[in-house]
Amino acid sequence: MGMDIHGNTVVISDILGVEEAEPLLEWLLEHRDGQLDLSACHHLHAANLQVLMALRPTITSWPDDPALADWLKTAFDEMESNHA
Amino acid sequence: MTPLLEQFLSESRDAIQSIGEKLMQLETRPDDQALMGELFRLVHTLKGNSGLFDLPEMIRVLHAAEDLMDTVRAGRATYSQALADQLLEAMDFVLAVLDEIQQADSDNLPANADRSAAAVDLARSLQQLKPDDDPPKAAAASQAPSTGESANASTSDSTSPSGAGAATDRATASAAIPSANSDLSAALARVSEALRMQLYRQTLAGETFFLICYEPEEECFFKGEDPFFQIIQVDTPLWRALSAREPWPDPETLDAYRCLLRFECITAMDRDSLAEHFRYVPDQVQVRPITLASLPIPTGAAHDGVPVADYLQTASEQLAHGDLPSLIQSSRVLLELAAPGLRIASAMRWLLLLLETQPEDQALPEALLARIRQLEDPMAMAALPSDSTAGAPPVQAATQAEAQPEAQPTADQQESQIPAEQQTRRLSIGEPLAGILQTQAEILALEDQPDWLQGRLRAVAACLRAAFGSLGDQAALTTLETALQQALEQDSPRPLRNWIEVQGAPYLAAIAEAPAAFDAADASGLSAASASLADAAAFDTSATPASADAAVRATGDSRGAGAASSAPVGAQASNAAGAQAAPRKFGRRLEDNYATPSAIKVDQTKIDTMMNLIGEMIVAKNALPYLAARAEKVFGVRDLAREIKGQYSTIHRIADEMQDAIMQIRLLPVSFVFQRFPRLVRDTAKKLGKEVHLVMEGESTEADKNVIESLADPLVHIIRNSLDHGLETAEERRVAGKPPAGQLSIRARSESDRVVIEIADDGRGIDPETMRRKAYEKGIIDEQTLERLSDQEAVNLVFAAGFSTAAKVSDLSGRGVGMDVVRNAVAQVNGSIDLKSEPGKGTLLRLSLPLSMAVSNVMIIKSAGQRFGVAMDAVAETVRVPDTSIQTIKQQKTTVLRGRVMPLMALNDLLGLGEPQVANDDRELAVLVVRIENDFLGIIVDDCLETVDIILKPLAGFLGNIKGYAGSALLGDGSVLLVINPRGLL
Amino acid sequence: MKRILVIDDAATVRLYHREILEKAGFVVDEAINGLEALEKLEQAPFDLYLVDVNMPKLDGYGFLRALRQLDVPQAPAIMISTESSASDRHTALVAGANLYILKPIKPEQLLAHVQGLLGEWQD
Repeated sequence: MGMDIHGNTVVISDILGVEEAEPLLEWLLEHRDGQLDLSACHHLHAANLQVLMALRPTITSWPDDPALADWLKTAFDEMESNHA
Repeated sequence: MTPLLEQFLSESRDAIQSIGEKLMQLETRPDDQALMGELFRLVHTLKGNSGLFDLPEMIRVLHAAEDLMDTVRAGRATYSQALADQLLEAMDFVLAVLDEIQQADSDNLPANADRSAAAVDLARSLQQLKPDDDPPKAAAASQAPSTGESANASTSDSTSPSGAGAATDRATASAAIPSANSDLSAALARVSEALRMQLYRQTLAGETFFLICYEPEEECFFKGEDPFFQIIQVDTPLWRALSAREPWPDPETLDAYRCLLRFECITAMDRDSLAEHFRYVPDQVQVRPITLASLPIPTGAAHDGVPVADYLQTASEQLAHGDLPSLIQSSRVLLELAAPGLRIASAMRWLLLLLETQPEDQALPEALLARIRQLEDPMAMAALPSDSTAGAPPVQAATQAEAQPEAQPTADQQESQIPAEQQTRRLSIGEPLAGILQTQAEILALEDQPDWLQGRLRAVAACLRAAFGSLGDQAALTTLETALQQALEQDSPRPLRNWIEVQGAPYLAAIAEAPAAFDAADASGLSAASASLADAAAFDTSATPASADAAVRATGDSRGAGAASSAPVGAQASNAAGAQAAPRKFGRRLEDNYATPSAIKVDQTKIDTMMNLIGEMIVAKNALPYLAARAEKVFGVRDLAREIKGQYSTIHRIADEMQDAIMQIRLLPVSFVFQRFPRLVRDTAKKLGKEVHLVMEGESTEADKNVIESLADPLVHIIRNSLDHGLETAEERRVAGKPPAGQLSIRARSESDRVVIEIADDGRGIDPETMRRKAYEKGIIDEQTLERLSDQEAVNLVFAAGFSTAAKVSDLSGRGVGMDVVRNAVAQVNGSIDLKSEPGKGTLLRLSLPLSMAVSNVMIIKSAGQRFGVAMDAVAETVRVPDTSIQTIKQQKTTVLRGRVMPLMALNDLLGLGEPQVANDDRELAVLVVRIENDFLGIIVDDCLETVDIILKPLAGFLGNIKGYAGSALLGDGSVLLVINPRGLL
Repeated sequence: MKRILVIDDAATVRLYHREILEKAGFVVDEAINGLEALEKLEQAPFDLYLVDVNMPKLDGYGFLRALRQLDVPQAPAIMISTESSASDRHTALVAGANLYILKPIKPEQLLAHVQGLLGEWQD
């Protein structure tokens, strides 16, 4: 399991699998100001990625894994610039 | 809706219609060049029109269609049915977009993933019909969705790290600049300039990079794929982008498991490793090698304050002459002038990098300059040829620039009095004027001797007159006329060419010596132009009157322009006053000639309003005879009554003519309906696997719009029936000894006040025996009728409700809709239908319809003390039948009319009025003989009165469901007349 | 007031040009092909011609060649084309065009060129 909920923050650890995309989406829909801590995340499935891209929650910490962090930041940057 | 958009929609629809027709015609005449040319022109025009609006998908599809047609026209591809199908499909798509525009009432359609996907698919299918070796059209590629082929072609070269390989790559790359690279460039424009420059240097050093675009299919998550994992595994991306293929839906409606992601990155991984990496999803990944040519993309903010036009002029020349130091120098000047964030600054950085790293290469800097011209200076771009190496002007301009020192003596030879200061002036002129001067110089440099040379020279002179008039350069204008005269006498452009080299020099030099003149140019240009106006008094009076007049005209125009733009000096103003009289007068005379278009488009509703108004007027007019009668009977003034009647006949005539005129407006040719038949027949026949030859005649036959429109559905149904049931397959026909292709003919003609349409096929015909049996089996007729039925009557059974003869129900005509529906639809517009068929030979259906439904002629009858109307169309005759000649057979009243037994029915019974019909004093009953299909029926009424023209209005609301009445009408005396529908009564 | 003849077989293009030019105060007439254009200008010549390339009956090149041989005041002509190649441009200039502009053309561009050729251009 990769999702731990601490109040308003979801801490993702290890790998967030494809089956977590739906729960993640639901949680984010219920917590519109919810935050994500990805520091311990090693990978998340593309389905989760698009949930994050579509809902754009605040990311409190990016993954320690540089490759993953770079891609995720790209996704969020792109949206910032598109929405600017 | 703006008139322009409206025009666009209607013209586009017409074009699509014609395209469809042309394709049909090509089917039988695939080698007809004229037809092919016409088809190309239609598609071309359609695309051109779309270009005026923001319709990317439509343009994409039309572009591909045009491109394809171009190759077919040029004989590089052959016309085929598949091609026609594809084009028709493309036109259907365009029609759908047009409908969307119509509905949205705007050419600014919101982005729609389905639409753009469909456009891409269509464009691709169209492209695939082109032969593979076909060279891509230069303009085509910018919009072409798949340029992968040409990009791939250069891959093999670029993967080779050797110097030779790199050189080949460079050559390939620059050759492909306008085509394949623009697509790649568009993608790369998002990459930062610094990174692109780094990639450029590394590519130049022999490294290879690829741009990857990975769009996983929507349902990939269900196949256990994780595209994110795939892409993360790509080695050391130098750049990456993550986006959605379509805008994200609202979070509430987001489907987490429908993959919308698009991954892009630039990697140094080699092609083989990439192929291995994406081996399970090759169709979802686009791998494009990054070419040198695709990298130099100027990015940044657009700004039109930088004097780019002047720079470009010199830059192209310097490049062409290999004068790199000067080019580098002027580029640095421009770079310093421009803020670093501007696009032009980016362009300069790129140009400098190109010149520094590849001084021997001209193609890339040239392409970059062309790109700058296109981006920063679209006006000059339009005036100058896009390909700076192929066109004459740079050379021309260069000669002028070089020739400048010698220009002075030439001028002296011409005895022109050019102020000395003008020789050294640096004049900045507007881009359009520069373009005009440049082009005229180019025309004068042409060496040919066509028959129209004189006209061409005069036209050039007119342009120069206008341009120099705009500049206020009177000194130049005075000598222009002399130069023109000389040129015309010598039948040579040389005198004018000399003239423009001298007179144009200050202006063209200004373009040529751009960067140095940036700051001072504007101010000095203005003052110099004003100063030269003072010379205007020195007119060359030796010029012919005509040309002098022309010069005056030009002067007057420039005065007007000057007054509007800035403060004229007093002396010039008074000078201008005299000159102005001429052009004004000239203008007014021409204004009187204002041409008006010969046809106008009128909204349908406006015509309907007119129709209603004339209808009311006719009713109002009909009140006059009543008034006359009242004047005579009630008030006893016969003279007045007579006068009213006199007036009535005048108004009656005018109203009739007016009604006729309005009806004429509403007339439409039957081709309005016929035009879709070729496609219908073609598609249907294809589906059924039959060969059908369609013949249409009399398409220009006209009838009222409503009648024509009501025809559409019945005709479509009849045609489907013929194709489906009537015509046999080629095999069956061969067996029957007929030509394999069946013939279907649709003919229209007018017969007095009716339109007759005949649909005939040479198919298997209708077998009366089969009809009898089927009708009996279905319980439509009883045994007795079965035996009594004539062959014709048996054939007519197809019109009986609930009859379908087809052994098996096909999806075409056998949808439970029978010919009875057709007959009812035709009857609804007061039409009739009859059918003749000969087994084995074919079937003929004949529709007869009124020309117009707007006004009906009805007979007024009386029954049970009330008045009713019956359409005259339905009335065959009226007779008086003595009650003694009425017999009752099996409870059915009948009489014998001209030796034929005719059933009789009482109107009161039919309407349920519960009163007996009243006979006249001679004990005769009034009988209305009505024709229902081919049978006659007598309807007994109390009395038959006059006939009147009425505007029939259908009954509204629940009354509309009463079948016995066709509608109601207002009579002249204000009373309402119910009009009976005899068929509905039975 | 200057009179301009717009020659194009596409009604949409004609309307597009008409709207731009009329707004700027020009008097605009239309012809649907070169032949009709010749007929119109023989009745009253124009001050400027906007000429499409591809037209039925008589195309833009044919029209220009014919115009330049007529005994009428020779007014400037702008050829409006979709072909950007130098050879197409050359053909147009040889035939008698005075400017060669690529489609689609922006209103301000068109106006600038028209005004320049009519001596009404202002900076």
